[in-house]
Amino acid sequence: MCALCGGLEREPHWTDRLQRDDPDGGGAASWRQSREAQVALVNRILGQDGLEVRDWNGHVFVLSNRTGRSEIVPQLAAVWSAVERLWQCRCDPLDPALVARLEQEDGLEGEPRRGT
Amino acid sequence: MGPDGDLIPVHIITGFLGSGKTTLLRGVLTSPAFANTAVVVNEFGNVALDHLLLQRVDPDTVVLQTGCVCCTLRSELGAALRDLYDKRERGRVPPFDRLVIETTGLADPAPLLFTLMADPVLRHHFRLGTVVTTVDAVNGARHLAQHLESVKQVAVADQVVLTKTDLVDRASVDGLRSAVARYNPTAPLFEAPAESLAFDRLFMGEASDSPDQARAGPGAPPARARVPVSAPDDGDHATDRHARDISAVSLTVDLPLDWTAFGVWLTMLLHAHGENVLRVKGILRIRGVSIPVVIHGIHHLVHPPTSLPRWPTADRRSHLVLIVRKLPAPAIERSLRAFLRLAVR
Repeated sequence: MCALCGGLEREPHWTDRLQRDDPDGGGAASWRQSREAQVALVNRILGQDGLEVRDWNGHVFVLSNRTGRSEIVPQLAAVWSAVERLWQCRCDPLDPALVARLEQEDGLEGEPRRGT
Repeated sequence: MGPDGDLIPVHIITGFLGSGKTTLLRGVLTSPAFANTAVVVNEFGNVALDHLLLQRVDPDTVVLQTGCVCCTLRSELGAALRDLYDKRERGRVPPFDRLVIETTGLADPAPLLFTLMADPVLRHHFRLGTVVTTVDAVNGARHLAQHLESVKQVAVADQVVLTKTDLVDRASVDGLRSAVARYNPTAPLFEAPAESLAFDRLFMGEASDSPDQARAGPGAPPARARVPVSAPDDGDHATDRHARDISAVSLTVDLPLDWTAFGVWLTMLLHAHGENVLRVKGILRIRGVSIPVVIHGIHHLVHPPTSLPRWPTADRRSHLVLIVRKLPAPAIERSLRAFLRLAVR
């Protein structure tokens, strides 16, 4: 347990275990940056008002909906199940409507292509 | 040595009934290079160990003259491995530094791999090593066409050993090689008889993150994006249809990947479709990382990423292979593209 925040120690998720080249070497600054990027991206994919994902102290993710109901999840992979519970929706990256919305936002080109 | 360097690698030998698993195991047990190995077998009797027996530790565990520990599986795998590790720590068996598990011929190896990767105790002592799948050249094509378990065994393999190749003609072997490659385009194929295989090549490294694997790894073979297998007509058609639903999707990305976007995409994909993602393997060029990053997963579980010391070839692109069931390749490709582009802006 963390002596400062009382949070339980958790196993790092695979998405949190990349060794980067930056001078910080995966230290606190790059960790914070990585969490912020994850949260920003997840919120952008969810893309609608009323449900928000926040990082709490670099330790867990907090999801809350417009009724004030919230849920704490330990790592990125667990966010999607929590979103489905809170939001009564399905999180599927192959959902054509989701992909079309993301493409519309960004004006896609090119990448990636299938292997030859 | 990486953060997992102190963990004991667990190598898996899987393969359909009669495909040569036990012959392969016998070779491991008698190889001096594998003296510090513990082996979990289905039955002692099948491996014919009597002449090698040094000490019987208990009814399920013996120590061989080579130094190998051999035990049979009488209970749930997790409990058996915890017990074996406990014996090692107490000095009741030699301090083995690798473990080899033989699956039953009809087993889908995925639950076994889940146990190793997800068990809260085991994952602190063991790590998944190499999955070696034996495929019988005489019956392998028929097994692949008729038995979903056989397809799954091939799909999760890091290395495939074609056995009994001396009993069929060259055209049959080539046909089988093609069938195996359709379900798993990244696994190197060995054709040598089990007795003469270089076991150190098969098991000594963790195939998924070794340079050799990367060289033959994701994207390296000329894999088609979605390749249904052509099956003979004499099989069980219901099972045959299941087998046809499995395909390898191979994606290449030229630009460096954003790790956050990739992680968000893959976690979401496995959340929604993990049951139908038999295997994920990739050698990735990640933005902000100069060396290649290797990733692999089975169904919902993904290993922590590892790095190669250098790029195995001049190809600096990311290659990702997903072996999937009933998931359309164009949708996967389009979705990954959309997620990666989110991070560019």
